[in-house]
Amino acid sequence: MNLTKLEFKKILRGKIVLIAIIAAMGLNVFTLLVGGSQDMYSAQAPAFRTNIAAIQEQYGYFAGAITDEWTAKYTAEDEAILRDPANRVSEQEQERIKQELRENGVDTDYAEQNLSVYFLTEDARRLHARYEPMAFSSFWYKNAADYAQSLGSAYREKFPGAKGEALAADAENRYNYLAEEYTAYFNYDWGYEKLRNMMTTYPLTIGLVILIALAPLFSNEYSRKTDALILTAKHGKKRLITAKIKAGLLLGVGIWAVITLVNIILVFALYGTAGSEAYWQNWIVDWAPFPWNQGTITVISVITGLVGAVFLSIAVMFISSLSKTPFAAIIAGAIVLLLPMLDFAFTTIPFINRLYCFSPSVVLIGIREWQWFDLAYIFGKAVPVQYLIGAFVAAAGTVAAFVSVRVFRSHQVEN
Amino acid sequence: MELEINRLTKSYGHKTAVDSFSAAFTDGIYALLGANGSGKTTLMRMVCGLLKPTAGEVLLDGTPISEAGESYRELLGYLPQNFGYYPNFTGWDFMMYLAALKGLPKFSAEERCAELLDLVGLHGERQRKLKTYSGGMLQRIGVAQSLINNPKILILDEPTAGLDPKERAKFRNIISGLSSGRIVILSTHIVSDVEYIADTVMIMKNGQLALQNSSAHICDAIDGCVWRCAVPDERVAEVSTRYVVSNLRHTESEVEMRIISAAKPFGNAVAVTPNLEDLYLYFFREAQAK
Repeated sequence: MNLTKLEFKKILRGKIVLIAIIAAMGLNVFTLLVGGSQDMYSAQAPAFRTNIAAIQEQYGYFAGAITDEWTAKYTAEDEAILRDPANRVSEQEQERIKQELRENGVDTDYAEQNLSVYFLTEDARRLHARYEPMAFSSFWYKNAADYAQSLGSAYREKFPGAKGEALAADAENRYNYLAEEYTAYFNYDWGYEKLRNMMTTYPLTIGLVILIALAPLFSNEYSRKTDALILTAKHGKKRLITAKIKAGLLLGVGIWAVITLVNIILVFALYGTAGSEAYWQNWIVDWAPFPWNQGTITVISVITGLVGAVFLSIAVMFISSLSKTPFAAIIAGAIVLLLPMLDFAFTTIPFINRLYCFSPSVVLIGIREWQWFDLAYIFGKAVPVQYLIGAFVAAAGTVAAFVSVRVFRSHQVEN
Repeated sequence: MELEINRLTKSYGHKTAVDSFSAAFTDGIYALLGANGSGKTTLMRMVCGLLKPTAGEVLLDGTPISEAGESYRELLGYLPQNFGYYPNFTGWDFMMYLAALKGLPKFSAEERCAELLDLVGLHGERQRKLKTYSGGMLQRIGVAQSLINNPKILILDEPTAGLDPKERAKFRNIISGLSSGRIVILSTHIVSDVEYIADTVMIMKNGQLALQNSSAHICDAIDGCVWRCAVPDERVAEVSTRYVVSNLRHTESEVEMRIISAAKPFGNAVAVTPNLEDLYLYFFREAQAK
């Protein structure tokens, strides 16, 4: 008989696990439909559909490679809107606005010379507003160049000598590549943004299910005293433990797959699939110099999330093997799971923030690992910290799985 | 097949639970008698490979069981004292799960589990969840699971705990029927459980093997030490403090006492044939006094 199948069934047999799965699915769909700070993100049909269609059309108008010609073309169109006298409010209204501006300390001559939006009609303002994302994106290469300069200076200042020089050179190379050689594309890309945004809830959905389902995996055998039966059975010290680990991973990957699949289907159905070629760095939250587009970063984040689900499952099973009761395992697992989610409380301590990036729940979020950039100096070479996290996850996961097996196998059945 | 326990010792700090215990087992039923805390459970856990000994070893046909690993466990059936179970499993699921753990293919597992549940009288209750089982039913399914792999070494720790007299009698019959071609070691402090079925009786005291003999001769050790005498009612209390009393029966004018004593306690005392209960009381008189 297939022990992995039996162990998997055993995991799902607990009512609390089924409740956790249903709650996680519910929370996930609820967050997807009504979560988010902008109205556009809330799926209150039919307004939502209309808004999304309008935004898709608005962004799609500018779709294409961000080049000097692209910037010049659309900037000229925008300026034409600003210059068109027909788009201006009446002379009388302009005087009233100027008076108001002066009272608020604004230089009205400067505002007028710089084609200020203050004097536009409502319709013209709306028309002009359509060009704002384009205007922001026209600075994409400049932003990359600015990051090259500021990070290079920061590394040289922080680590004088060969180390600082190596780190600075690597950072400058990466950002200068984006600034000078890479071609970024503009398009409507909200589907990809939303999909990655949904990953921030993973610890509360996928993580919680993994914690509740797997914390009792080994600890329950100790507390229920079934360890004596298991460890005296033919396959109790080898195949069963492997089956438990496999079933645990199956649960972790399974719940990740279900929730991710639901998100992909719902998000792309609501927001569309356009924009995979668009740039993903907004230079505020997402400022890593990886030369990827929306499609690539989303796929990489999804894969990272899968690795996180596996890593978290192993971490919880490891804790379970060391805990005498499921309750103790859940408490210890909750600390591992939730503590890194409290990173907002430690933003002034960069070291702790960086440390959190090595935790299973942050790896589970996926996108969190790729938004920022930092370099480590190892054997005279600059290495992105993301690569170190990858190596750490592989090593720690393997060691934790191995130790879990050893701990349960050599468990001494006492009173 | 020979199972040999060689100077097995288990210490917890300064306390020694099993103290240099040595014995050899071949096919037959071995009853391990001992008071609570005498080290029976610790010994059995070490024999099952659940506890690492502080010193000594357990050998199966000359090979340490720690080296034999899976091939040893394949021969083993074990019923722990207060055995654990999964409350949300049905009796059937529980048996099938353990059958899988013991390496039985699905088809033969189904056949074997049905047979064993029938043997312990739980076939009709197999679809009920274990959390709804009574203590006696749980103990019976515990016995059934220990037999799933038709073990050549069957270790039963207090197997009759929680069983009513009828169930205990049934259990004794089951064990008797299993005795050929296998080593059965059962621990108990209920003398009547082993009196009729054990081939060999071992008395364990303070972690050591205090006495071992065939069940026919185990009582030889106290031959001439068991007396029957009549004592006036008012002297019963005094006599009870001076001697180990295995039984007393009130008659109209006096009390008939069964006394265990190396010397003849009273002039009217008559030597009688000792039984296993006398032997037990003789060895564990301190425990009885406590």
